[in-house]
Amino acid sequence: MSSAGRRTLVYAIIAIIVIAAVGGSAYYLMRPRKPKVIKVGAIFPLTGALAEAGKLQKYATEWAVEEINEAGGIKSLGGAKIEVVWGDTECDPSVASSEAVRLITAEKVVCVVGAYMSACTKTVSDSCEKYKTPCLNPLSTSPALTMRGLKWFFRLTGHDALFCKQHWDFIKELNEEKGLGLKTFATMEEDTEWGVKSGEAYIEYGKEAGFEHLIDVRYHRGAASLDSEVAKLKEADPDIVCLTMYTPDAILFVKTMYKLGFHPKIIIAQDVGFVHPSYKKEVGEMGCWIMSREVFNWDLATVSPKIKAKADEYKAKFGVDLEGCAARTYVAWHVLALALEEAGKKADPWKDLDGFRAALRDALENLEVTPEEWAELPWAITTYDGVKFGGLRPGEAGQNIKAWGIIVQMFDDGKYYTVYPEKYATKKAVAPIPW
Amino acid sequence: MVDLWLLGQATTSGLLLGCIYAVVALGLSLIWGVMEIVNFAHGDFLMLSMYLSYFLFTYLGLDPLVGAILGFLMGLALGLLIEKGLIEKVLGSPPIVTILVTFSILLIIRYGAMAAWGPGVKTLHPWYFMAILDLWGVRISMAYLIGALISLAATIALHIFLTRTYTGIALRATSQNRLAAELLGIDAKKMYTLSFCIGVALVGLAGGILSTFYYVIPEVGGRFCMLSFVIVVLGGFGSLLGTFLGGLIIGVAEEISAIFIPPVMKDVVAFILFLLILMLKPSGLFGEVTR
Repeated sequence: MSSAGRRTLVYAIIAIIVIAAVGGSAYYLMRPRKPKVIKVGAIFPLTGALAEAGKLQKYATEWAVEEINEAGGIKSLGGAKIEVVWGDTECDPSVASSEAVRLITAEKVVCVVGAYMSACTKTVSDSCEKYKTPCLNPLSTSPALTMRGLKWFFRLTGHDALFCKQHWDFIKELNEEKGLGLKTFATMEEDTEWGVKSGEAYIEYGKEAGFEHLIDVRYHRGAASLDSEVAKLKEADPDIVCLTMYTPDAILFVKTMYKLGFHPKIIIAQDVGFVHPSYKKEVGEMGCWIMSREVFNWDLATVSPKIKAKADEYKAKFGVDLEGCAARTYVAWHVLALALEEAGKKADPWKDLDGFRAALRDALENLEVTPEEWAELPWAITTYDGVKFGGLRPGEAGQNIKAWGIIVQMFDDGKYYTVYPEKYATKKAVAPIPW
Repeated sequence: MVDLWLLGQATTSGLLLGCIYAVVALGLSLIWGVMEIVNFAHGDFLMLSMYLSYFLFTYLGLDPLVGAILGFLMGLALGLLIEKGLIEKVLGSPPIVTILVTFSILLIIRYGAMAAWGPGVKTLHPWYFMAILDLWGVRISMAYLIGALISLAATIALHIFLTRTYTGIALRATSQNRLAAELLGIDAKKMYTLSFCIGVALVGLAGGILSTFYYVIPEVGGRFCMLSFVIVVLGGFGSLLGTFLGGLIIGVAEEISAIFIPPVMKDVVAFILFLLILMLKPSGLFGEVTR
């Protein structure tokens, strides 16, 4: 080969190498990449007595995670998608705890969301604390959960004591506005931890609001009769009665109240028993004018276009009406996405899982969503005023102090309407009860 | 100083409830008295009858007291089916076998009801629940009054049946001494079937009465079954008068104690009273020590 020929061959080889290198690099850089995933544990009662509620939480989780991932995932982590790893409490606190350990140690999740029943949330959060993994709780309302000095536990929903405080703010306002002359109150609750704590909170905040507490009637859950209990209330003759009980006792209470002719001016209840669909169906017109705290009500959609849009979307997707359980779970995942975004700026979950978990804990602790921001967020469909974890009472930590509920009242058409706070109210509260 | 009205109201409520507790316990007492088996499914037969009343009232508009009569008939049929199909086969076996058989029936009925009708609470509102008799401020719902009167009538009718009719006397004879009764030509097997049928029928009647004022859930039987055991043992196993009085004592003790001490303790009072009576008279108030 001539020297000119050899030179041409060398140039050709160099050109091929350069083209191959550039092309290869370009392909490498522009190749379709599978996005990284960030694992989050979700522990709900997927089987057992409360599986119905667990199913709704699963719906809400799938719905929120799909939205977050479709909107580009966690951008600070290069668009990482959230991958949910499911755990089942089976409505058993010890099972819930071992599920949490499995998700943290074997599945290596960055955070655990759950676990509905307060008793399960307690054991799950204990495990999270032990393994230094954040635990975000969307639904449990036992006030004691945020009084344990845990550093890795964050509760988004309001709790029973907070709701009690809200009840008294409302009653005080109502008393002044309508000149009702309400001065005294009585409490009646079932003898479970939930009942006892709620009763104590009613008494504490009621006295703080300036009302005189006349009598506390604690009864055995599922009693064969509530005659003497209601007779004691009648004898004490309070203006306001505060109730904490589940549906069967709630129905028996209302019937006994009518039977004994007990007519307080206001009856207010701690949710659950008084807002359950079977209570509304079975108690009939006897339940009229009783008020209860709630976290979600059908008429919110009539005052908030964004709630209506989400409620319609949920119904179309899952075929059931949006209610408090699903709404609060849905919101929790979006709040978690905000915190993940912040944590992603500080640590890398794939290289340093422990460091990322700590960064996520800090992000949750420092997270603040103002009422103005909350009003603008399309996914913020609960009646919170925003998000800020802290404590309302001495010794409390990890509680969303902006998580207010609403107060509903059953009207004579058998439906519950929101009567408080004013921005969500669709009807004016009827008080005193027109017996 | 306890208000007189409160005491009057609690006593009246206790007496009326006690009558109804008694009719729930009556069938249990009869079955034990004759067959010497403890029917653990007793409360669940009560629950079935309450559901029957609920469905008849809700879908056909039938009064729950008509439901109580149909509950009685359903109890007869169910009693016959279960006694012939199951109980008869294990009579004479060690007590643990009959206990397990009735316990299995309990589980099948309770969880069957849960699967069929769900865990939700159901309740019915007959007009007479809100028909109130006001005696110097002491308020009595007609539903309770009617229930108590039917309970009294059922106890008297059962007493007459057992003491004045040939079959009733044969039943008692079988309960006192099976061998002697058989030697006298009484068909003991038939008597067993009859007592089981009447026992379940009575609790069927009680279910209808109870549904006029108490809610229905699949677990409702458990609550009343426990009370029934206490009442039957307190009154003396197998004694009708004892069962009736036992019902009244438990009803009144629970309601009156609830006004003096925290109501959450009222069940404890009933059980303490029960233990005290047993300590003083181990066979119960009207029970026989023999056997």
